[in-house]
Amino acid sequence: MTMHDKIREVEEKRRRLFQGGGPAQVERQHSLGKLTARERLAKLFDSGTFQEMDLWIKPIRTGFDVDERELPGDAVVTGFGKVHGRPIYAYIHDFTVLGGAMSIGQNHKVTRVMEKALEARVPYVGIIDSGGIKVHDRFGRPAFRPILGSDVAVGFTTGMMPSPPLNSGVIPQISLMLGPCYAGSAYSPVMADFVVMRKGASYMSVASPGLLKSVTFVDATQEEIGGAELHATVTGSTDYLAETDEEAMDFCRALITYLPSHSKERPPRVDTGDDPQRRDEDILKIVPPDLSAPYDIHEVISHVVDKGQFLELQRLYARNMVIGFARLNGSTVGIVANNPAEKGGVIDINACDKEARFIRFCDAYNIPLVFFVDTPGFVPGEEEEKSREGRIKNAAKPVFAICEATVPMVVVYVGKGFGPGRLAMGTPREGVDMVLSWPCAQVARMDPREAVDIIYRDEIREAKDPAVTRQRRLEELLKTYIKYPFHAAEYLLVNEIIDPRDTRPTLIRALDFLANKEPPPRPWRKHSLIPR
Amino acid sequence: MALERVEAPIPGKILSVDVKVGSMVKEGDAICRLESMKMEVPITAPLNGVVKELHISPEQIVRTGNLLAVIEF
Amino acid sequence: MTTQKDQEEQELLRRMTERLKIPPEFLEARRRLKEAKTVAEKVKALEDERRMILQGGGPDAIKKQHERGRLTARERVEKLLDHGTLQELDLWHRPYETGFDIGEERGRGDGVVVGYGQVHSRPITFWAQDATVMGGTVGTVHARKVTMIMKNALDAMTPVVGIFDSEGLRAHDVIQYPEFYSTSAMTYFQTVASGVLPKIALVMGPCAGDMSIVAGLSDFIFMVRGTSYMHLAPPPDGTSGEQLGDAWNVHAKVSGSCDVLAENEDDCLKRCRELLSYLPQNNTEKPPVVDKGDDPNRREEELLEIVPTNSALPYSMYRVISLIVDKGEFFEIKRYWARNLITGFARLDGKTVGIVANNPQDKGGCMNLDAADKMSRFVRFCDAFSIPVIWLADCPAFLPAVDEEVRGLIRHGSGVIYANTEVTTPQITVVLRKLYGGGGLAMPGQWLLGDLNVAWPTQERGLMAPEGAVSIIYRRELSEIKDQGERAKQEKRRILELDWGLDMLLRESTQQWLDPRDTRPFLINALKWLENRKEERPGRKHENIRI
Repeated sequence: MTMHDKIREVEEKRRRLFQGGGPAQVERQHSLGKLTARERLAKLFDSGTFQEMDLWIKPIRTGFDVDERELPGDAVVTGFGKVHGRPIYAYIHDFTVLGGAMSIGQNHKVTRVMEKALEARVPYVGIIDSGGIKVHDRFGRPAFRPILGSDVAVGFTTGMMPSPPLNSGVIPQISLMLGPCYAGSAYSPVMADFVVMRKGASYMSVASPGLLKSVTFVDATQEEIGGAELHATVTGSTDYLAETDEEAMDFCRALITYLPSHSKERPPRVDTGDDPQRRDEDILKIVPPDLSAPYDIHEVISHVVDKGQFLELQRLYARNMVIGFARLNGSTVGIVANNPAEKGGVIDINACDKEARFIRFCDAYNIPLVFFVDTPGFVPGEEEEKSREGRIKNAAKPVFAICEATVPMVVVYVGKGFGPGRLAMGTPREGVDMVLSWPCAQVARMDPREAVDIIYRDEIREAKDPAVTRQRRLEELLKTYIKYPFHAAEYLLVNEIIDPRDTRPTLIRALDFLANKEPPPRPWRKHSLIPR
Repeated sequence: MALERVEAPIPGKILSVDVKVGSMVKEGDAICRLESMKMEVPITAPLNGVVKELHISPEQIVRTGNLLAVIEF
Repeated sequence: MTTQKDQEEQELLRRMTERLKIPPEFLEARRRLKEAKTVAEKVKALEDERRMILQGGGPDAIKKQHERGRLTARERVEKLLDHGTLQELDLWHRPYETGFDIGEERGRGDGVVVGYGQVHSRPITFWAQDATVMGGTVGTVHARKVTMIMKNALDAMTPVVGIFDSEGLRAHDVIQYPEFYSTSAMTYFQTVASGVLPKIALVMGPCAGDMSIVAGLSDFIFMVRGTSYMHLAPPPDGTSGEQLGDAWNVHAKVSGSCDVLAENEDDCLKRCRELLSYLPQNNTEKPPVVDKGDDPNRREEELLEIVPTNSALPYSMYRVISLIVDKGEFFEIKRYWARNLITGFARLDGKTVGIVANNPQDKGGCMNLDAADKMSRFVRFCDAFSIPVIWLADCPAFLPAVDEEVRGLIRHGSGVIYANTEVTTPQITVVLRKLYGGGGLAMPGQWLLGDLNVAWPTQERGLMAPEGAVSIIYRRELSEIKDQGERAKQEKRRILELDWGLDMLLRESTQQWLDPRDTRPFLINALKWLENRKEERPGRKHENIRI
């Protein structure tokens, strides 16, 4: 046997393994409108950059019939490659092999990706498409304790569970859910920083409809308990809702361009060719000067950021709060904005957790934050105050996230900002570096309407016509004490009042000066205790 | 005097009703038992009081949030 | 005989005091201090003035406060601290003038009492809002006092207890003074101190708006049944703050914001002292050791009989806990919320431990969304303050339910894995009975980086029962058997095989089978072994936990 013969032998076997579960299974995958694992990785990575690992793995023997089947790659493809020239690790379930069953071998491969990515300080992407845990392995095969810390992890579903929490805040983690994902198999990917789901193809829930029916007598469809749309609109567990596999890959590739590879790195600079001094006349047409009508905050954002490009996250969840990435003079910024076009821009419970987690991500990865504020405050009413989600602890989350953050932060008051709602959008005393106000902004520490009710409580109550008295006193208050827009600047709630057209140049100048921001060290702690 | 609603915390089937209208209950006393998740789940009084209303009978299937009893305290 | 100069001075003073509306008794106090000839006289003059200030809003306001079933700020602080250790600061601080007739000229201390003292002979820092002075409203000076004492606490590294009893921001003040000191600054220090100092909020009156966020940033919130309430937005027409943010109906049972529900003011302060006795002063210290005189080798016969062998029957997990820990003393956190999971502090051989236990008497001990939040928050607190965690597991599963799924069960459930993995203090899991499916993920055992995984002889666990697995693993084989009787026989045989495999797995993955009676001595010995546990984690600013 010559060397060439040996090479041929290897390549032949490789070709067979590359076919995954075989033509019939591949066809079935395609008929579901899904790509195979290898087609997916070809779309995710820059062409010719992928280096596979552990293709040759043989599944662990279980003593059941399943041992006789060849399961290429143990139903997962793992390795590393480049995305827009940046190194990325990945694991990609192969649904054509035994439904992508999560076996001991597969988990070992996946854990290895997670651990090696951590050591290399490189982000990883997981593409999830699996029927769940390989049941055969759970009858008669022991669980081993994962040993971490530059040692090789030997894990069952084990290494997959501790790795995302340990990686969190060190390397960005992205999960693309392009197939089913129930219970045990969902917990690991959902801990990632970003979760993408695909409409009509991915399902994520603790119970399957069958289990639900058998224990609680309730009929529910996959879509109702864990459909992609449910998670995109109601639970907020997913950041992006994709229509197709290709769209999910495109989003993932775009997302990576905004992120640094690890927590000690700055996000990459991309020359967008947009003039940092650009002043936009059209920006004056968006916001009514007396804030009398709602408008879409997206318009303000797109006028300000480079080329109007805004990568929005969780677009369909808590739409009254807008979050996402953009660039200013080529550098990544995280945008947090109230959207008066939705529910008048009020802050509710869902908006709080959406905002807070995004701020914490940006802080962990050195991404400066820009806030566009126009909110009447927290939504009043019994429904929220008495919610099982816990109104107070949720309101405290964004406040905590802002106070904790040490990245440059700039607040732009576009419209209203007062009361506790103002605290949730950043104030100078919470560590915000620069607070700007448009001339139409209405900013005060207390909503003047609330202040009037307190200050003139007795007078209003005793008046012949309370409504008239209240209105008169309110107007008086707005003329004497709270005179917009100067009030906030006079009392240091705002550092500067700017021409809206100057928003972009002013932000770029401020962030440029804050590039090396390093606040005095805080007291040592293992970790903070953000309200949960 | 105030009223406290006792609701089903979990879906299941009522196995037994352990109190009558007018019974005195202490915090932690079982009001009824229901079967769920292959378990017998006792539903207990959240506080001391008197059972004012009862809305259940054995074998009945209840869903989460169904009113089981009302306690006056 | 008065000179020209004296007269000018008198006139100047008169005009000034008139403009500032300084009450005559304060002027008199100033004069006595100025004119005192000896130090003793000066002391006396100041003492008289202090006595005046200590009356807060005066006898009428105090009477009103008492009628509402509430104590005054100073009465509360005196009950909270060891006798004679109270040291108040900044009591001479004057509120800013507002120009509105709200009595700020008499509001010395600006509606908040701040200072330090001792609880069980260990120092703590406190601030307590004084509802008798302008309703305890938060003016600039009020906020300044609180912020300053928080900073002091951070430097001194002592726990902070804040007593909330305030009608909210002082509108008259905040509309006309800069934001030097404000609720923003309070939230900042609450955050910086998070995970550094234990922070306890005692909500003993109204707590609304900005102040509710300040309270929400604390580690533990105590509330008093009937007399305290907390809400964020102003109550809509037709409702009251009391109704909107009731301690029992809203925060203890529903929202879970209330960690400890006290029956009355005395109970609240007593329990705050009790909680502090379990906690270290800060995150660089270990929790205090309190010898309760309980024998570390105590075996309990009752534990042998407590778990029914019929696994459908519930039993009292509270009883199990009380038999194991020192003198049966257990300080429960969030007792009335997510009752299917029990969390709280206890001692083993004098050392504080955090206990996390499923409660088979509620929801059969199933985990659900609220229980996941309750567990992860509690466990993260223990980890930050070097408190070992003991898990007592009997969990059939994560509760399958539509309403839980649509609230984001997966996302919240993952928080448990997150928190349990993050822990670097000793973690010991004792499996009392069931641990199936996702329930296993909630209990760290060894595979979420816990230290020990032991079980009572009643243990049952696995991904699923063999009856469920057989239809997956042997689907093809069984479907090929045409004869129904033959198929049933074969299925039975396969189930027995699977059951055998499951038993082998159980034996192999359990580090030790405990005689239940030995649980206490076992845990004490194990904690001694793990006393200096240390584990390094990759450096980062902070994690990005799902919230």
